[in-house]
Amino acid sequence: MSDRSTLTAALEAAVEAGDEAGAASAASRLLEIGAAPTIVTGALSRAMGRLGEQFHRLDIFVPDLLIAADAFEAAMTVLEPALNASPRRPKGTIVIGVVEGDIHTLGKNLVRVMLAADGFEVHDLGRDVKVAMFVDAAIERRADIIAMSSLMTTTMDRMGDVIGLLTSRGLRERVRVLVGGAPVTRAYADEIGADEYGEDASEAVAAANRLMTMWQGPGADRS
Amino acid sequence: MTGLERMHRAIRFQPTDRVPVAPLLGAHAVALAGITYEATSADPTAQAHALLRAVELYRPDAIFTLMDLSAEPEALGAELMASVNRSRIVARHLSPEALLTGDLESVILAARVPVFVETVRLLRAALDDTVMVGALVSGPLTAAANALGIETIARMLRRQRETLSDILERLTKACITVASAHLEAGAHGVMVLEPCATSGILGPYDLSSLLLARLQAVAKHIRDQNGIAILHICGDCQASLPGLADSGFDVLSLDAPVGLVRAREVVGRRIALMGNLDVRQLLPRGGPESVYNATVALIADPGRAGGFILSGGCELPADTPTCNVLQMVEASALSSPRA
Repeated sequence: MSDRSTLTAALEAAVEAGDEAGAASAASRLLEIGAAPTIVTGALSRAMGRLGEQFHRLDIFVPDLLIAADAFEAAMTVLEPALNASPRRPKGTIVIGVVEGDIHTLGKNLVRVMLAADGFEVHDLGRDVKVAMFVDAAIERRADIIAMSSLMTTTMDRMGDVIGLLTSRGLRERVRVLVGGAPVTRAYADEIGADEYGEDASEAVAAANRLMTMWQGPGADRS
Repeated sequence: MTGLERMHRAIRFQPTDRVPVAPLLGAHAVALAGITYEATSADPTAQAHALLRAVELYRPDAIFTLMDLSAEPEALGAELMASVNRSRIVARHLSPEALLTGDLESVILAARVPVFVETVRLLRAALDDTVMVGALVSGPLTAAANALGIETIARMLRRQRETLSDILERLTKACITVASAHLEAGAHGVMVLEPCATSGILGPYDLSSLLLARLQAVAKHIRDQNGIAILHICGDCQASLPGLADSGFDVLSLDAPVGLVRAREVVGRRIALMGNLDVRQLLPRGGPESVYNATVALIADPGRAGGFILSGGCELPADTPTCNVLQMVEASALSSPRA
């Protein structure tokens, strides 16, 4: 087995074990031996993808996913200068945040990492994000998707308000909307007119991919 | 048969004239009374007034105080902020060290916790033993998660288990202190809220190794004081049902994602079940007919074997239509006697 494949396997194993130092070290070594940044991101993406599937099956739980996300981000920090030197074309651009009045960021953070691992450019607006901020950020970042999370029934209606504002500003056909969070259901997503719903982090990634595929299909309107 | 008797019989799997109904009406009752959330979480008279009006309107078998998961964290020193619409949420979390020092058992009875204890006292004075008066108390894990932040807790589960275990031990005693205060004020029972023990966050291993013994201690304390002990878990906790069945509580209150027929198969007659009409879509947004049909189906299946209390999967949203709550209660009233 070559150094590259050994290190790639070590990187994937470190991410899956939530080993931040190990992930950063393996990523660093890969770059040192001349591996392209895409080799590193590919390994990260595979590891996070497997974790997403395990989480979906309840073979692992949020704490496991969270420490894996920490390891992923440690590797990405090492990788960042190389990525900036040779930027890659992302699958799509997403602005993500927790809606106004809600400060529960755990789910949003996991989705953010999983989306980044899958090749999306993700701009995190944080928590307690006002309705207009989602729309302004989507314009500023030329986002394909606004992704919103809410953990509380008392705040989830803000998601519909964002969709309403997109519509009133004439942007609804240009920006897709992905929603999720503990109290949010597929039926609720349909009711407020969201384009997609992610039941968990891995589902959110699949949903974002569906949105991008739909968008790029025949007759898609990106004007 | 009074509501309290119906509740007592149901949790013992004894025959009742109909399935007892015990929705968490707090937020809805407050909205119905036209009182602000701020007022009711600060004024026991206002809160009791709102809840008693709901009792008058819906005739439930149990009434619980307002659900406010920020009360205990505030007492422990966390900084709160007002959320949109109504509730308060923790704006600035504490450090783990803050929960490892000091006398949590006396601190926990500060801030707004006494408001809820006094509300219980007023409810019991007004209702005596006709309707079960229930208090809501944050469980150890949920109190820790709200005080420290769920991400902190999730990382501690993997990186600082010993420290987390110490914190949970201290918060278990604090939880018992609050439960005792409610029981001494006249509560017939205490619902311990552990939404963070949902399967996505807490797997079966973490439940059994870190939380279960603490929950058993809380349940034992409530039952030793002749209180009805109810454990509420939000979200999908199917993977943890075998452990939860051994929690020592009288009743396991489950959220809508958990199928109660399957849950009954798993837990057997070790624990009564409570739930679990959908509070996200059905009760606030479904029509009365949908609510009625869902209630009838719930009573027909999980309720058939007894040991069942009809409720929502969690607290009813403030804007739940009155007609939907009435449909839920009426469907239960039409149910046949339970074995």
